[in-house]
Amino acid sequence: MVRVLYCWILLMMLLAGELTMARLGFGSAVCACAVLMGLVIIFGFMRIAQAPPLAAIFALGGLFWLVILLSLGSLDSFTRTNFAVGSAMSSRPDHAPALPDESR
Amino acid sequence: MPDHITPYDTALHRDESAVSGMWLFLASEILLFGGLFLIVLVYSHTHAAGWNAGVRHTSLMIGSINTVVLLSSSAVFTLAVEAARTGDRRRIIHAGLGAAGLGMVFLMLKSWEWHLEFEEHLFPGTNFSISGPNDGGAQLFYSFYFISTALHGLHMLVGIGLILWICDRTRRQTGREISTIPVDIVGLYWSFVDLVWIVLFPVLYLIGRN
Repeated sequence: MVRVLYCWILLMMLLAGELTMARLGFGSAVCACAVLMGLVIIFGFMRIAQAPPLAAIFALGGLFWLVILLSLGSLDSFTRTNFAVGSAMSSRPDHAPALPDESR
Repeated sequence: MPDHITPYDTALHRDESAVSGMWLFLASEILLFGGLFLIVLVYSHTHAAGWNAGVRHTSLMIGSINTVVLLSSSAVFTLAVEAARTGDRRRIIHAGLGAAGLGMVFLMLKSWEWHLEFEEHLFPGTNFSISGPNDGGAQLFYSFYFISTALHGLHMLVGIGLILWICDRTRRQTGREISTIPVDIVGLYWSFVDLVWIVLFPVLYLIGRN
């Protein structure tokens, strides 16, 4: 019970930190707080360290494929140099180069 | 070999297989939500102005209260998991009902938030209230918002149902030895639902607000 209480207090402190960082406009610090909260849940509530080795392999496998999904999925939009992604749907970002028909 | 552990060699083998199987299911769930987070990664970058305009229209107050409620619910159900290990039947039921109750509070607050957003015409479509050069990005944000919160809410409903099943099962098994594995498995699922919200909360309410 004490362990669960410590984890909950830690989560509340991290949430307070996350809200403060968001107010100050530090997006990366907000992400860092979210990652720490996730680790508290995985190790404190889900007890991955006490789980069977196969469970840890599955958890790491899920994380691995998530990284592959996010990195390969976002590769196109982060590396394009000819025209912006989905420019017809919304305003184009400031740094995006001109569309081919605009440059004429 | 006793019938109740067939086809496993031992009870430990059976229990470890159940826990590992749940983690395999959660790994597949990570990829389900991963597709949604790919949307965030791409469109919050390529349509930053409109996306951030959408973030500024969400209710930070309701989102923050819901985060506290869900984290508390997960902590309370972890107490039920600990109670199952010590064989405390009464505490499993009390903690389970507490966790399910907090889960219901989360869903009620989320429903209220949706109601407010529908009233403000923030559902993507022809009557969308955010206008101007960034309305496309804002509509993309609200498309993501409604899909992700609906999917998360669906997982919460399933979780609440499982917790209530655990409470009922524990109540019916009076006089018999408590099986800890079902409580453990449901605890893993409930914490995973919490974990998904931990990622959704900054994406929907915080990053891009200022």
